[in-house]
Amino acid sequence: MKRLMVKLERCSGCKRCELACMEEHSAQKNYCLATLGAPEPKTRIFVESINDRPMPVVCRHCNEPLCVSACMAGCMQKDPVTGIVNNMGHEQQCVGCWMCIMACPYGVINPSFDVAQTGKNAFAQALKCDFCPERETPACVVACPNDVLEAEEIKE
Amino acid sequence: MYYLTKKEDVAMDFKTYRNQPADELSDYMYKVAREDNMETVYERFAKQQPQCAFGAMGVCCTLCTDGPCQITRKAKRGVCGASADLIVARNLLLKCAQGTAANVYHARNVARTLKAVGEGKADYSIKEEGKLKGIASRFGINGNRTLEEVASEFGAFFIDQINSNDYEALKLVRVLAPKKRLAIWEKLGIVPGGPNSEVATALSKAMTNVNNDVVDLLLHCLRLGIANEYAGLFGITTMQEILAGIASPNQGEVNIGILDPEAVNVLMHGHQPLLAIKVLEAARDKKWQERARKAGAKNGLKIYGSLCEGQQIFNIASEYKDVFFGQIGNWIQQELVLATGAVDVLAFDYNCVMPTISEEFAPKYHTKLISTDKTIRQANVERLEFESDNAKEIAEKILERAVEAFGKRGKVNIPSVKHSAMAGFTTESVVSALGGSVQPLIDAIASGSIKGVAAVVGCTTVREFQSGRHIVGLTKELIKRDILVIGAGCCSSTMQNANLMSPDAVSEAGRNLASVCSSLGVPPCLSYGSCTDIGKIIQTAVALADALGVDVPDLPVVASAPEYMEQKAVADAFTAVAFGLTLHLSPAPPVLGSPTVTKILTQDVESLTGGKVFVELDPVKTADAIEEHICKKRKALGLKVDGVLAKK
Amino acid sequence: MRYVIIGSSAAGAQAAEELCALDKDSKIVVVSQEGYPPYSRCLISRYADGRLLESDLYFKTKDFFKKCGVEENLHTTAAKIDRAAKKLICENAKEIEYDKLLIATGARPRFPKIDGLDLSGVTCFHSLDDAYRVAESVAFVKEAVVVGAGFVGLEAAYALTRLGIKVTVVERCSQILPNQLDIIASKIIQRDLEELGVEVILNESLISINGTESVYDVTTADKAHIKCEFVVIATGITPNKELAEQAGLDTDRGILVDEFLMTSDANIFAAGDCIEIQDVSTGKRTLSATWFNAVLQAKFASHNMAGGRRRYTGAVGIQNAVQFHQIPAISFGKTLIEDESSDGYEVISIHSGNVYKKLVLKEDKICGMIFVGDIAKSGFYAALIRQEVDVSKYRDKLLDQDFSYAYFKDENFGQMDPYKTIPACWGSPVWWLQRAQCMGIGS
Repeated sequence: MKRLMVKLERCSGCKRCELACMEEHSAQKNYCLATLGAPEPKTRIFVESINDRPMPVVCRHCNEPLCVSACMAGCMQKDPVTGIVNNMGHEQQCVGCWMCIMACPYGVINPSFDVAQTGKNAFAQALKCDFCPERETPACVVACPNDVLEAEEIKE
Repeated sequence: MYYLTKKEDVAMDFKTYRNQPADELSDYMYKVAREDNMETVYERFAKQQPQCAFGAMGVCCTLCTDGPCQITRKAKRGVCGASADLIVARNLLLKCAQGTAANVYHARNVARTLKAVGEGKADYSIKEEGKLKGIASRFGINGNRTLEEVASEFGAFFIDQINSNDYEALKLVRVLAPKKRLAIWEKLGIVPGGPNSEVATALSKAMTNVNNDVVDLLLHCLRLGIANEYAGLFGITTMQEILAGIASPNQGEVNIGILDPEAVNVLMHGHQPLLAIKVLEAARDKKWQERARKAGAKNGLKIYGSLCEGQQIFNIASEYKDVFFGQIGNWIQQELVLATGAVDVLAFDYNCVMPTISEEFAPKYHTKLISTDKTIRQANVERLEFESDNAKEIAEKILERAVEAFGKRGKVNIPSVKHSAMAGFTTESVVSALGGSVQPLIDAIASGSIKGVAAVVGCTTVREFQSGRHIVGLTKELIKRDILVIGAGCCSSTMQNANLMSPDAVSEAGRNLASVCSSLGVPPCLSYGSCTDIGKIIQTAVALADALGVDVPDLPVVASAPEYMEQKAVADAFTAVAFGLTLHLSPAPPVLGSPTVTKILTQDVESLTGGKVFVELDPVKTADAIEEHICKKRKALGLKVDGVLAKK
Repeated sequence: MRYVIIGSSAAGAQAAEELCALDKDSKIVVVSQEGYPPYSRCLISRYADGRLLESDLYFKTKDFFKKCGVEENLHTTAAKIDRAAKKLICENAKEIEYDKLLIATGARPRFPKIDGLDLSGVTCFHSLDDAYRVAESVAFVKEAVVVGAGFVGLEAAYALTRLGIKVTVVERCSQILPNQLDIIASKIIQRDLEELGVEVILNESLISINGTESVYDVTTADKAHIKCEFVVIATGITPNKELAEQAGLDTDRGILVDEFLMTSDANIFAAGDCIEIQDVSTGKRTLSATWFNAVLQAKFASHNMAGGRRRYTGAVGIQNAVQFHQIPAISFGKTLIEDESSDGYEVISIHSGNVYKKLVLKEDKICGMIFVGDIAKSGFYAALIRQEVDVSKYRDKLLDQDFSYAYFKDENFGQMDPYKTIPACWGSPVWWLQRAQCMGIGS
């Protein structure tokens, strides 16, 4: 099972991973076009900071994911084979109840729209790292210029 | 390797600071502004975090459309082929050119006014006849001419110098530079020509695919540094002194608490003090005090200074005690000052006015904004552009607007604490305080009463945990170790706010320094004025070196820019290095991405000019390094060194 | 091993799934009063107004029990537990023997004591049957009254409004969502609902529902009459503890369990809305009717039924996420303080427009939060509450824009640590100056 590992000391805080993530999860697959179109592209990896030191906060695809327990629609599931926790592509659909956002201790799940910024209720959906199912290696890992992020094979 | 913090000091320092003002009054105003839902520089800084380290280390190049390129673990060259070293050097040269251009622009404005005075077209007169004649005569402008002719000719000469070509060495440098320095500069081939064409050449060199020689690019930075001193800083101070008078020590009040809720308050903000003088003179007119009282301001109309403009007025304030009521603060404080709601007019010229002042704070807190320099375009600002012959008229208008704005005041909230400080030091006034020669200072240094001199100058920044903390921390450490501190720019304001520039501050100083300062009645930290007065500090160092018969690098003198922020500071840094000063910088300048450039600036350049740069983020460790350097120089001069690094 | 589970909602279904995985050779029997595969009770309003199809409500797959090999007894009501014989006796006289029994009977709606509850057009809003009733009645209804402005009431009001019905919500308290939100937050949400056309009447209660056969209008305590053809009663729920009570198990307001979710009988466990939990945010025992808690409890209970000893800690009674119309809100832990200075509680908050964030602190720990409008990172704060993390170091920063999990990177909340290779000097001034080398762009 692959997981994102972070070599924190290498991080420069350039946020290329955020851009790559937005791009990968946009319909247009191009950041500039996606910014002009709708819905607003949103990242699922977050370069936060402690004081002014950068720190990428990533989804760990937990062994015992709280977001899965919290999901009242049953769409947030942990794949028994790959171990990826994801709320897309299952029989059930995300209804935007935000219970997973409340449950995730790392704060890496976000609503698909932002009231504070848009004031508009677009299609409400919880967004989280899906390990880029269409790619062999996640987009953020490919984009990282300093090899901070790595998709590492781990045992669960 | 090239930084002073040792590898073993890896103590994880995550004691989290909240990035907010260090100074108590500013903190009070900060809370007021936050309660009013205003976003200040602190919130903006937090929202920018984390900031991309490629830029912070200088290895991000945005010059062409094949970019932006960054030097990374994977990519060792930009698309155009530029290496990390080249990108860093190019970026640094561009910043240095911008800073030089800004200082020279300021100097040109002053020279124009001086020329206009000579031609009888200005509202000003020559205040320092001796100084004008003295400097003019060194360039062959003297003889039987009238004072006016000398003024106009010297003004014209200075403008010519600024505009002269870069293939002819600048006369200002040839004539004024100390011989030892000049010889070194000539050897390095860095005697500059006209600053404007030097800047243009620098911009051409920094183009995509022009110059790949890192050393040459850095030497050009030094050229600009020298031009920055003589055609910029030195010119500004000298000509401003000729027109406005030489600084003289005087006591005044400082910090936000001095604003008077019962008066019409006019704040003069920026860097060019000539207009402010006319405003001060106009405010003396009974008419304005009457009108202010009629509008409901019991205490009439008061003028204050802010930022470097304030420091320059403060320097000559002994003449204007009836209308000038003190110095408000530094760059970080500008938004907080407006949040008092008691500033009726903020009149400013170029540099260091945050766009939020005009777009957010002034509309919220009723302040009327007036810009007086042609480089300024901001929203909600009335433009009254300064020309040497309309100064009086503009001054009247500024006061008129202030009285009008007073009626629109809303809630006023001023902290009740007042600080006082002493300002007005310069080469001349220090010499006269010492009784006519620098000898007593030399004696004090020789005897060890004053271990050395540190110029703590430049901006304030909110990066790291600083916002003034670093300036105050470093200054306190230095005076504790008997090192005399000279402040300029926002550093001066910060020290004033921390009560380090009043004569009482000797209680914070080491025993020896305290006794010297008490006997002279001066504080252990001397304010030289604005950031453009850094040139005067260098002249003092040159005077000291001349008196001792040595070169500048041999002096037990260190310069420090503990919270440097913008491009003028980069140009000033190269001035210091060109003059052979050891310079402390914090935060780290954007060069760490290139080991070559970093090594040149921190080591190799010492063998060329005698100066160098070191970076240290911790105030106490900075003081250690400065003390170590001073002791090294004392030893080389054969002076007594006792208790190296001994703390009080 | 024979496991018997009473109830097939959040807790029941989760327990069945867990037990299947934990103990493959066991026999698992589920007894459910209702006739559907496990469905999400929280989503019935979305079915009622047509946002979701019936099949979308099944949070496990439709043939979930069959796939797990669970014996399902639908339309079966458990009547009695014979603890001595370890037998569950159902109303249809069926007897099921168990080795371990899980009571996940949930809760039922509570009705106020008013006249006219038996009229047609009066309903509660608790089960899929209720949702059918609402969906069927809609065609004939122009105006409706919802009694109670809790989550269920407002969900119902929102769904009815979306169906084009003029809805009036009558609430006894002085604000909507009185158990979850404070006055500022409730006003934001109320405005959001009102924008859609929902009318909210506060400080008002119903004294009767009038009509001959079907509803005609309702009378409030103010003697006002509100005309309506449909009334939804949403005045709270009460735990289904009677089965346990009659079996002689310890109960209070709900069924009492220890930290292993075990009742006073070592072979009987309980989970979900029917039990009382120890709330870390208030330090008190409380009822909790939330999906999240029910699922977690079922996980722990089934582990312990299968012979494990996992402690269920960090329970929090109030944990709700909601978005009726446009503005999302999250309320977690102890959010209501009668007097801010009482008991050493301290409140910090920021409020601008529709964004409101409030944290309740006590003794260096966060014990409650309300986030409205901007709910990003709320789970991080929830984790700090659940794990009782000391935040005194960051007290002034808690609601800052840049405050995030980054400040607690050493706290892994029991999960895999992706940052384990950080060198000790990371973040120190030395690292700051050595970054070029760390980033690999040095020579």
